[in-house]
Amino acid sequence: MKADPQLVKGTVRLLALRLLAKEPMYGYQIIQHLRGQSEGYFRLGEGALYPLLHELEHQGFVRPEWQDQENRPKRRYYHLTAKGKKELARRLAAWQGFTRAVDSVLEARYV
Amino acid sequence: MSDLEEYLRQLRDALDVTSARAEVIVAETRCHLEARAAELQQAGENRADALQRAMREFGDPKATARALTRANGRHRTYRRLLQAALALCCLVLAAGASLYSLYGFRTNLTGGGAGVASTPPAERASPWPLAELPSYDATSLSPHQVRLQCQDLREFDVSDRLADLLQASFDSRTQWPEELPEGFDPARFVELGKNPGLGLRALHAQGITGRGVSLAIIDMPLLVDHVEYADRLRLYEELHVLERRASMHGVAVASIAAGRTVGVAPEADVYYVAATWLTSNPVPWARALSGLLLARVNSRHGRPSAGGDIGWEMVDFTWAARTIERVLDLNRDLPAARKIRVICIEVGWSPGQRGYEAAMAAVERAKREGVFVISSCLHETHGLWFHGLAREPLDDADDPDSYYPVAAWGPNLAEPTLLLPMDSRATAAPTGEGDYAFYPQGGWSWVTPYLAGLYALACQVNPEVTPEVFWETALATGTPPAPSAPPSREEVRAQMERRFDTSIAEANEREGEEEVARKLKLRYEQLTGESAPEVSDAALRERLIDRMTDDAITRAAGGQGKIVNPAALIEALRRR
Repeated sequence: MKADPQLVKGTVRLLALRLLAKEPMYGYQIIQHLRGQSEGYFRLGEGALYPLLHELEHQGFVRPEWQDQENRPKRRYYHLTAKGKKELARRLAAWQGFTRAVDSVLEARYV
Repeated sequence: MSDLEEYLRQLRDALDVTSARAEVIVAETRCHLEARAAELQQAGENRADALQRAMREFGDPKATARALTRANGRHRTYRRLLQAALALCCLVLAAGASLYSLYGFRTNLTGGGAGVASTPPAERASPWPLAELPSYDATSLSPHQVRLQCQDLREFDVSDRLADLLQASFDSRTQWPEELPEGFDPARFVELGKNPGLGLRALHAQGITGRGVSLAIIDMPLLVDHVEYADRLRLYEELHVLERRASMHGVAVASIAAGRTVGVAPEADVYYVAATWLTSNPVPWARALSGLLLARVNSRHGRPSAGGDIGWEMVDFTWAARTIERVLDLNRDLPAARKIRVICIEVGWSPGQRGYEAAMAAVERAKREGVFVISSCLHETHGLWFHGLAREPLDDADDPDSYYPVAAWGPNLAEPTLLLPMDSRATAAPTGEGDYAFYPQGGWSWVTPYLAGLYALACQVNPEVTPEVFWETALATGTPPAPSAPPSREEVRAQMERRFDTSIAEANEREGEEEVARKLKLRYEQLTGESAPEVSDAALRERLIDRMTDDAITRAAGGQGKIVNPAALIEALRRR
């Protein structure tokens, strides 16, 4: 199933923060995880992730760090900061509240 | 250019961010595209196709650049606005500075060549109060990091701050807490620091005080009523000065030369002309100020910039020349028995600087008229070298063994060099007529008035003395510094590294890295007399620091420095 771009736009920030909470990742790695873990649902335009990561960086939610790779170009890993962890918790709570509310309306019996 | 490079070029060109940020974005994009292409190659695509697909997936470079610009801030536009605003500020500042340079200087001369033409008010005794005791940073080159003048420290806990207090300058208005760390005794520091040292007080007791000799001082505005010299201040004039209030510098210099209790010649007559060397030409003012501001803007954007060094751009030693000439003119009208024999002017000039020739010519006239002009470029005007001595504040100021030459800067003691007390001095202070200040570190500003006072004593016992005879006798009767406790090479090298890196960081900020790299090579050539090797900047830095370290150690250990011995000098001159 193809993702609704409007839905994706609002949730990628939360998903990126969630992925980085697990371990520091570089941009392409985040895209692979998004694609893999969603079984191909999130096929994000690859250039679209970086503006988001840079926004998160400027907001202090993530901290980038270049890491050398053997025989390969170095990579820019993003680490979740303490401020980013708080932001993730806030967004998770908001998301869970939202989905609960949507579910309860969708699953209500109108008979 | 490959497709990948062309793609990255388009991305870079379309970004409106700082150049540093653009490099990060391009590097990160390259990393992404390479990784994606590698994955596609593993799946069987050839490299060219894989790269094409990776770039397609990444999106249109211009659209991606727009999104990245939004995420990183629209820098280029802001920068243009900022530059326009700064250019406007420069214009306003330059116009203001030009007006100030034309109308801000003042001159007050005594009509008859005697008396006090102006009485600058005392320095304010109400500095910004300290919230806590400043810490001394041994890695910093700033000489006055712990300034406690006029501070109320009664509520401070300084019981474990001995290291910081030992580096503190303070004055008689500093209010101390009841508990002070052992080893810090401000009253004792001042008492010992007032002593001009090296047995001078014994000479004073014998009547060798400079009585009947006149000395002139050219410096910043003076607190004319200070008890150290007020009774012997025969003249105070101002020639081209900007400062309104009495300065710490002039007051200290006058007291070191001729102060009643802290001075070398406590009964010499004092003629004082306040002056500044700042040019009154508005063009250098405007150029220096706008250059300084533009250099800052340029350095923020990684561009090299000429100028930005406000110091020498603003100086015109013609004013030093005119002030010396003024003293010489006054001297013509003084009776033979009261002639000024020595002028102390605490500044130095070098070939190429504005007004150099005029200053040298004024000194030549002084030589012809029997006046010794003691400046910090005595090597330039007379071929004579001097340097300052350090002393721990509780060590006996009269004992030559208490002193050691300051190693980190100064001339090479391989030259015959006269060494005179400099550090740990208490002097008159500008805040009130009975105030004193203690300075743990001095500079040549504290040495030249000492020399001037000493020359006044020499003139008292031998009116025929000349600068050459005085110097030759002082070197012949002086004592070599004790060879004890030279600083280790590691200590000196660490000091040189700090000095070097700090000045390079400041110069990079001011002039841009390319210009600094060029100057580094020039500096190497100056120091070694050889062409700079084609090595990296880091390697050149190492070689320069090594050379500076060697020079500093040579300075400290050089065998030709002589600590002045006032009693022996005066006795030898008396017998001539």
